[in-house]
Amino acid sequence: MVVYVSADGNYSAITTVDGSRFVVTLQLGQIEKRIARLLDENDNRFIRIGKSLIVNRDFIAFINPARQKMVLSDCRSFRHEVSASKEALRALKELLEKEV
Amino acid sequence: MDDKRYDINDDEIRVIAPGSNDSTPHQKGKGRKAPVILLSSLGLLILGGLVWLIIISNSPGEPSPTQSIPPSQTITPKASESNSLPAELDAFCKVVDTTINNSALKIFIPRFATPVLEIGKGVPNDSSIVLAAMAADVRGDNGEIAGAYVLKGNLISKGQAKAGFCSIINGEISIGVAEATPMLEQALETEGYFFRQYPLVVGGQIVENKPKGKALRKALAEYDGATCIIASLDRLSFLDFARTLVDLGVKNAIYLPGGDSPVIFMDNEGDRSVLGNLRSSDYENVNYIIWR
Repeated sequence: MVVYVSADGNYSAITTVDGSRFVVTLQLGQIEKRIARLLDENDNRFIRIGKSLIVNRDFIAFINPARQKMVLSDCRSFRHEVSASKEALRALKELLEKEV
Repeated sequence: MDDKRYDINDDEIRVIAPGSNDSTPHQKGKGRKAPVILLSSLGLLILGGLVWLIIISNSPGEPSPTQSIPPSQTITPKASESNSLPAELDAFCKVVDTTINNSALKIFIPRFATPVLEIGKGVPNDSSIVLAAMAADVRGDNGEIAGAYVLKGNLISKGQAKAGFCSIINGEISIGVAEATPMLEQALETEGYFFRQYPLVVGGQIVENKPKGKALRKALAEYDGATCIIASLDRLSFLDFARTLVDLGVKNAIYLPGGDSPVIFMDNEGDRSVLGNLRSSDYENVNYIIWR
């Protein structure tokens, strides 16, 4: 299962729950399109954050807009810290809080 | 061209919606596009130059029918509301709950309200209060206010017990740290207000203080372009509270009496609530910063 996808120039790096990291020759926008195509109806777990990140909301453990950090974790076996803009993280936090 | 729908700025987020790819057969955007193109072609054939004129007269910012429903929702951050808003709007207190570093915080943001200082045990009973919290500390030995205190241009107390200060000059709040500050003189000259407290955050940096114990903490803070009161719902040391405020994004903050000292606030429905205990102080000189 995908935890997050980060942009790496013209490539994208996909990180999965088992800690594997795959670099693919697709831009993040292309990955986004593929995800959209594969998703089931009502499946909205993936969120594009800015130009460089797609995250699986199921693994968002902590968001710190001031420090521009977000922790993605299953609270058991892995913990990834990713960065995004303060504004995007604030918007993300607001979105998730609204949905609680 | 449809790839523009996948454009995103670094300050935006977008929930990826299923089936929103332009290559998927059930995509909303594509389904609407075909008839639009067909109608446009017919229109061009029938009306010729007239349609051309209509197309030319379309304003550049107007969205085309094919762009009317985006494939996914893009959320841009909201511009922060300003404190300097029209006076005719009803004042209220916006309350935001958040968690930083596993510490729960309540942020009280006054809207359309003007701050003053007031002294007296009866102050919390005033029904016109939009937001109020205790301001300067009162000394346990003589019941006097600790540090310099100016009430409507009158010097009530002298001294510099703490380096942090808050001044209210012509309704404008300033928070800072200085052993000597011209804001004290200005408050005296302009019928303003001034009090001292422990500094917590200056220019986004933590200020270390001597008290080390843990308690429920409160602060007067500059956050997101507004002056507000922030209360911790967990017992924190001064240092942890200051760190939490910095992580929240606070630029400047001074301490306000903590523990069960009350924060009185009125929401936009006009409902009045209290966080803490209204009877937490018996001193005659108990004093409050109040927004009305």
